[in-house]
Amino acid sequence: MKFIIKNILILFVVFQISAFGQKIPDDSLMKKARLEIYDNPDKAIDITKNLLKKEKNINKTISLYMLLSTANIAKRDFDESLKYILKAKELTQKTNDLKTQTTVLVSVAIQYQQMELFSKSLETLDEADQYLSQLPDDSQEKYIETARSYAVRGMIYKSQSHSEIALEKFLKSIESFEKIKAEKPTNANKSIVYYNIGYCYLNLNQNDKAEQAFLQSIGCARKNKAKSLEAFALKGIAELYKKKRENQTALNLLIKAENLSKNTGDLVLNAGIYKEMADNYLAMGKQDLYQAYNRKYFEMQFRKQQNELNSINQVIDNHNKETLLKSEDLSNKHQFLIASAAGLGILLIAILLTFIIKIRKQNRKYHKEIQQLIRS
Amino acid sequence: MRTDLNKIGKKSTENRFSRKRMWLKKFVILFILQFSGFFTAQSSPDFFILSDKAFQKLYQNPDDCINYSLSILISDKNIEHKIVLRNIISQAYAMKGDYVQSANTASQTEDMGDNNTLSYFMQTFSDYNLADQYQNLDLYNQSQKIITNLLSDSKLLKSDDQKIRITVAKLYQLQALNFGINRNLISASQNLDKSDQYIDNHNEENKIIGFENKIFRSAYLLRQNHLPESKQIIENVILKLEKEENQPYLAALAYENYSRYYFQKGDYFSANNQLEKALSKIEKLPFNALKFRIYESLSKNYLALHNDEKYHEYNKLYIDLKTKIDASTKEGIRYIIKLAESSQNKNIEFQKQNQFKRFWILTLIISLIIIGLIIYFLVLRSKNKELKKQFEFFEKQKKREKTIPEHIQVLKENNILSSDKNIEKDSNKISKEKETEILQKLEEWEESDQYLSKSMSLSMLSAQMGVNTKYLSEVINNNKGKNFNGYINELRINHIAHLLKTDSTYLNYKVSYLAEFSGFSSHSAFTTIFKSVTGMSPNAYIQEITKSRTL
Repeated sequence: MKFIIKNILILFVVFQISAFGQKIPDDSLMKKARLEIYDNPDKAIDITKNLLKKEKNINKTISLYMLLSTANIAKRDFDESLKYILKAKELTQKTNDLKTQTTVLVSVAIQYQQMELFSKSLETLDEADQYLSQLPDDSQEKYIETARSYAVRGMIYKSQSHSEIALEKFLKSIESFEKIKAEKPTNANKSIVYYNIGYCYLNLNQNDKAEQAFLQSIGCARKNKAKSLEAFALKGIAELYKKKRENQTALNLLIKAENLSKNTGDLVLNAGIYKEMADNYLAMGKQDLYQAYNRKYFEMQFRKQQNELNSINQVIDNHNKETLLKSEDLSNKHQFLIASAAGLGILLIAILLTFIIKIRKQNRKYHKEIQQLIRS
Repeated sequence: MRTDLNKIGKKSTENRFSRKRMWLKKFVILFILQFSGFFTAQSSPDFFILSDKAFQKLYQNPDDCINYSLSILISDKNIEHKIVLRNIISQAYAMKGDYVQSANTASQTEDMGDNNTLSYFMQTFSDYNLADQYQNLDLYNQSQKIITNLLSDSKLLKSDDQKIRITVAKLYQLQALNFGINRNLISASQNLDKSDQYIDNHNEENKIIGFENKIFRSAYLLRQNHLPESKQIIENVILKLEKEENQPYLAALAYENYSRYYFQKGDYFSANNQLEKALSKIEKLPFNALKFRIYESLSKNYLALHNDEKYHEYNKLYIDLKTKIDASTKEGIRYIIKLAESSQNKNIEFQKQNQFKRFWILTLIISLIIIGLIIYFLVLRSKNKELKKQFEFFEKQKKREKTIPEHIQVLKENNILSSDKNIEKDSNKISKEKETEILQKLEEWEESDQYLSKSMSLSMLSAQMGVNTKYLSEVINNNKGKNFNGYINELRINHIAHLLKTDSTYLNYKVSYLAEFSGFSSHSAFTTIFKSVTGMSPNAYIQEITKSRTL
C-alpha cells in the first residue's frame, strides 16, 4: 500500500510543478532540461546551470533553482538538492510579491516531503502559512496554496501511518479546493485528495465513508477526463470490496480500472491494479489466474522500479565512461612510455652489437695473424 | 519473488565474502612471502580463522557478526583484511535490511597510506563488492555488467587459489540471481551449475554457498513449473540442514522456498506450516530482509485460506517491514555512487600500478641486456688489447729474428760514422757522442746475455760500462722508451720467448724454471711481466708454440 501512496504523491507533485510552470513561461532550453531530469539528470543540471548564469529575472531564477534541486533529487544527491532549495528560498525573501513567496515555499515543502525530510517540510509549511495569512481572504491564490499546503501535510501524516491526522488535513485541503472558482485545473488535485481521503477511511475501517470519498474522486476525475485518476479511485473501491470478501465485485471494478488505465502507461497504477487482481483471484482459489496476474504485477513493479533507477543508472554510466576515458588515457601514456623505453633499449642494444661484431672481427683477424706469425 | 531473490543474493554475497576471506588469507600469505617488503601489516593466518568465524556469524546473527567484525577491524591494519571485514559488515547490514549502512560501510575508502599496493585479489574483491551492492539496491544491470566483465578474465577462472575459486563461485551465483530477476531462468540455472563447479566442500563457506545454490536452483525450477524436481531438491536441502546446528538463516530460507512449492500447488495449509517453521527459526534474529518475505507469503496464504484476522496481521507486518526496507534501499542508493566512485578510483590505481610494474620489468630486462652486452663488449675489448699486444710482440720478434745479424753490422758502421761526425762537430755534443757510445755498449751488452743474471742492476751495469748511473739511466729512458727495469725485463722476456720458439727443449721446462733462467726472482713476477710484454701468459705462449709445432 505504501508504494501506492508514494506514487500518488509523485503524481501530485508533478501536477504542482506543471501548475507552477504555467506561471513562469519556460524557454525551450528549460523545457529540455525538465525533460532530461529523470533520464539524464547530469545534462539537466548542466543546462540549468548555464541558464542560471544568464538569468536576471528573480522568478525565473527561483524556478531554475527548483529545477536544479529536483534534478539532484533524481541523482539522489540530497545535499546538493538542499543547497538549491535553500537558495530558492533565500531569493523569495527578496521579492515583495506575497503570492510568489507562498507558492515557492509550498513548492519547497513538497520538495522536502519528496526527500522524506518531513520535519523540514512541515517547518516550511508553517512559514508559508505566515505569508498565507497575509494574503487577502478572498484571493484565489490563498485558496490554492492553502489547499496545497494541507494536502502536503496530509501526505506526510499518511506516510507516517497517522491516518486520522492525515484525514483531518485532507479534509481541510478539500475545503479550500472547493472554494476555487476555476474548477478545471483543480479537479485533478481534488481527485487525488479525495483518493487519499478514501484510503485514510479505509485504514480507519470506515468503509462507507471511504466509498463516498472514492466516488467523489471518480467524479472529479471524470470531469477532467483523467482516466488514470478514475482508475485509481476504482481500485480504491475494489479494495473495499476485497475487504468485504466480495471478490467478484472487486474484480469487476478492477477489470474496469484495467481498461481505463490501458493506454496511460502508468506503471504505478497498473502494478496496483494487477496486485489487487492477483490477490482477489488468490482469495477465490484461482491459482492459475493468480499466477498470471502476479507475474504481471511483478513485471510492472520491476519496470517501475527500473524506471525510477534510470537516473541513477545514467549517473553511474557517466562515471563509468569517465573512468574508461581516464583508463584509456593512462594506457595510451603507458604504451608511449613502453614504446620509448623499448625503442631506446633496442637502439642501445643495436649500437652495442655493432661494436661487439666489429671488435670480434678484429680479434679474429689478430688471432689469425698471430697464428701465422707463430707458425712462420 | 524479486525481494526473495534479493535476500538470497545477499546471503550468497555473504557466503562469497567468507570465501573471499579465505582466499584473501591465502593470497595475503602468498603475497607476503613473495613481496614481504610491500606489506608491513601483520601477516596473520589467525585472520583466516577470525574472518571465517565472522562469516559464520553472518548466517547466525547479523548483529553479533557486526560487533565481532568491528572488534577485529579496529585492531587490524592490513588493508586487505579491512576490505574483507567491511564486506562482511556490509553484508550483515544488508541481511538486516539496512541498505543505508550496508552501502555506507562498503563505500568507506581505506586509508591506503604508504602501503598502497593493490593486489589482484583486492581488485577482484572490490569489484565483486560493488556488483553485490548494486544488486542489493536493485541496480541489476550494473551488477550484471561488472560480473560479466570480471568473469571474462581467464586468469580469474583458471586460478587454483581456493580463495579465488570461491569468489568465482559467488560471482556465478550472483550472476544467476541477476539472470533470475530478468526472467532468464535458463541462463540463471547455467550460472548456478558453473558456480557449483567452483565449490569444494572443504570449509563452511563452501558448504553454505552450495546450500544456497541448491535452494536457488529449486526456486528456479519452481518458476519454470518443474514442480517434482524442485521439491526433490528442496527436501534434500532441508534434510541436510536439519542435521546442521545453528544455521537459522539457511534453514528459514529453505523452508520459505519449500512453502512456495505448496503454495503453487494450492496447498496453502502445508505452505503455512513451512512458513511457520521458517519464521520460528529467525523470529528473534534481525534477518529482516528474509522476514518480510516470509510475512508476505504468510499473508497471501491466509488470504487464500480466508483467515482475515491472520491475513491483516501478517499483511501489516509485511507492509511495515517493506516500507522500512524500501526507504532504506532508496537511501542506500545515495551511497552507491560514492562506492562506485571509490571502486573506479581503485581500478585506475590498480591499472597504474600494473602499468608501472610492467614498465619497470621491461626497463629492467632491457637494462640487464644492455649491461650484459656492455660487459661482453669490455671483455672483448680487453682481449682485443691483449691480442694487439701479442700481435705486436710476434711481429717484433719476427723482425728481430730477421734483422739481428744485419743490425749489428749496421749499428757498428753507424757508430763509426756517427763518432766520426761527432768528432768533427762542437765539443758541446760530447754528450751525444757519449750517448752513442753508451748505446753501442748496451748493444754489445744485449748480445752478451748478461741480462739474464739475477743480480743484474742499473748500478752493476753502469759499473761494468764505466758510465755514471744517472747518465746510463737517462740514456735508457730516452732511447728505449722505458726505465732500466722495463728495459731489462723486456730483454729477458724476448730472450726466453725466442728460446721457447726456437728450441723445443725449453718447452718442457716448468715455468718456474724458465723464470729463474731468465733472471726473475719469482714465478709470479715472471708471469706478470711475460704477459705485459707478450700479451699472453707463459703457459698460453707455450701452448701456442706447441700447437704450431704439432700442426
